[in-house]
Amino acid sequence: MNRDDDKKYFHLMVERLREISKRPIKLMEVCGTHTMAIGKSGIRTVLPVEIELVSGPGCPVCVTADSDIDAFMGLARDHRVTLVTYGDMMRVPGSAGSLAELKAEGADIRVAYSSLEALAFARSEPHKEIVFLGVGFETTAPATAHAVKSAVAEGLQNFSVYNLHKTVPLAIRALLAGDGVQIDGLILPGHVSVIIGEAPYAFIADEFGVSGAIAGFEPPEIMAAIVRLAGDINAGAPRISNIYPKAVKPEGNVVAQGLLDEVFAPGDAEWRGLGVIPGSGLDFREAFTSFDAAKRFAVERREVRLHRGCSCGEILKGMIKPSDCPLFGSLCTPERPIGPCMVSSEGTCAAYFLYNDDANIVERGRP
Amino acid sequence: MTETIRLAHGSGGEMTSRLIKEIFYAAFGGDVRDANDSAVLELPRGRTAFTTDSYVISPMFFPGGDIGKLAFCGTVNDLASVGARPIALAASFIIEEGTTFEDLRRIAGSIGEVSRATGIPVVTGDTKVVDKGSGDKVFITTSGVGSIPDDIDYHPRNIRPGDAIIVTGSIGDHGYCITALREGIDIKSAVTSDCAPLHGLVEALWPFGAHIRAARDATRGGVGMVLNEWAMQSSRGILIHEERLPVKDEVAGGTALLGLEPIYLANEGKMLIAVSPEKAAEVLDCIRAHPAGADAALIGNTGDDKPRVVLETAWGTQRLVPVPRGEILPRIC
Ligand code: SF4
Repeated sequence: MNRDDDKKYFHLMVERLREISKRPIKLMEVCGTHTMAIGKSGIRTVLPVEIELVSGPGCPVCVTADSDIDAFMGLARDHRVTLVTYGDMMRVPGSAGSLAELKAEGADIRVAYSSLEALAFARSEPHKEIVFLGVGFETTAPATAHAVKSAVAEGLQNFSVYNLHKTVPLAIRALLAGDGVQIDGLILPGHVSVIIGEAPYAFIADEFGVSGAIAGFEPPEIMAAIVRLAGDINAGAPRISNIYPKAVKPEGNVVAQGLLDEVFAPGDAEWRGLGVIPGSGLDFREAFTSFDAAKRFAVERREVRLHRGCSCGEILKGMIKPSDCPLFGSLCTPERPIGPCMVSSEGTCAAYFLYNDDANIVERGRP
Repeated sequence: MTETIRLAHGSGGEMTSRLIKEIFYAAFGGDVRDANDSAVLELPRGRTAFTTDSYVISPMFFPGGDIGKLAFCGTVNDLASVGARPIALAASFIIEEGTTFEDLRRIAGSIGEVSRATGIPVVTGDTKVVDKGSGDKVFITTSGVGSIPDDIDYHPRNIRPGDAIIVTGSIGDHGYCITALREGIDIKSAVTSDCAPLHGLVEALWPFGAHIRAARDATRGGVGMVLNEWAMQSSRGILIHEERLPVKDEVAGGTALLGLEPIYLANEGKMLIAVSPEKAAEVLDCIRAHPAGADAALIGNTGDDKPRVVLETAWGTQRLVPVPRGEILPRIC
């Protein structure tokens, strides 16, 4: 499709949505990439008033628990290791500053785009302990698994992973089973689904009677997902649809799944806002535990609760909007973030702050 | 052996005199024997514009220009932004030890070239040499004075509801060109920096008098930054249309790959003009008739009294154009 066809299709979808929207519907986009794409495309400004979009727990930085933030900060602070991280983590505030601040104070912290860069550091600087901060869902976890396997093959002794990887479906289950959460439909993450396929979402419709649509990230794709969900919800026929078939195969990426299964086993993980969800973490299997930086460096993980007043937890469950947080836009801004939701390029608060000040949109038809 | 600048060239002695004579006087014209501590200018009566800017761009040479041409045009454009006709410029150089004479000659040469082409003289200047590692080859500070006609007052406070916003050509070329160069993207055949003097274009708008409310060259932070400043300074909302923004195909494609937005990329030869709705069409024609404004476009209007910038996207949706945040791109000019 060329751009003009895309636009026609988009407008068709908008019209269709207006026709079928009769009662209030609350949809959650699970994934932070969708949150940003929705913000940036301004889709909310053409939605019928009946349709409300809320953001979910699918921003890896945002769901990182305070205890984990403080734990890896501690590891970076005592200067025994070189910490390699995705850029988004640099400015997340811990109880004693951020990684960016630690770096300015002299800690060896480096930003990388992939785990393989961290591996390259380990290769070229054998006298240094390179620790990769493994953050992300099924999208980035296979790359971490691959890096670990490469390290085994090459006999690299100075490479390890501080492992915070998590899996999405169990978080969705915890969310739907939780109190006070009222969601009619889910826009499911395209990138995660590329890896895991359709099957892991079946319970959403079967057990909770909620519809889901696996969606791409372009405005017409997101709009198509919203229309599909609204139709399903009106019809009272919950189901999981894959409307991103050009990228997502029903069975997902079997090779990546095999890699994950070889290196990791399900473990408990703490999610901001959702608490500990059994089985939602990716622990190293026996054969790979020597790559676990938490063990190698005996990292202490203490219970902490940072940032009183920060409502990231409620926001990640779609219970409140960022603008409902008393700190939003006043004490908490992208320059001086209080919570991780304002830091990450996929964070809900950042997306609202940058693009979605609903009240600010120019009256239609007026210059 | 290639001749390089040494610390002694900045000592103020014989070697400094030689440097000034062989490089700067040779390039800018004038007679060394007339040299004095200050240039003495005769200014027309009325208001005088006075501006200064420093240039640290890396790399120093890029498709479409170099740090010299950039330093000259940048200051000329700052004068043009307030509607002034540039009268004279000053140029000061901080040179790192080890910079080649050849590079310096090339940079001074391109200043001389635009100076002759525009008829705006470089009348005074200075050179300092710093030891290796204390600078990065060449930094230039240019200052300029210009005179403003009595009936011209370009300032964002003049902006009124319904005014049209015009951009004088394709956006993001300079920023994209420099970024692509640094990222090692091959842009030989495609986009060059738009570095150019715009005072002629602005002078062509003088006859429209107070219908021209404000003008500003959209350098660091790009069109997005200037529009946000205007929104704040005029206490007006501004609505622009994505589909009307003139963006070259290569820039659109390349920025998408790099995760950048053309609206925030630096320009070095593009003005934003706010003009009254009555004269918008005429002003646009006038700009397009000028060689520096062939691709000009009317991109939006000012509106209500909530100061912010809103973009109507190609999808017909609307979103805020936030003030660019964090480090945009270091050493882009
Ligand atoms: S606005 Fe800031 S403090 Fe409030 S929930 Fe978002 S990140 Fe936390």
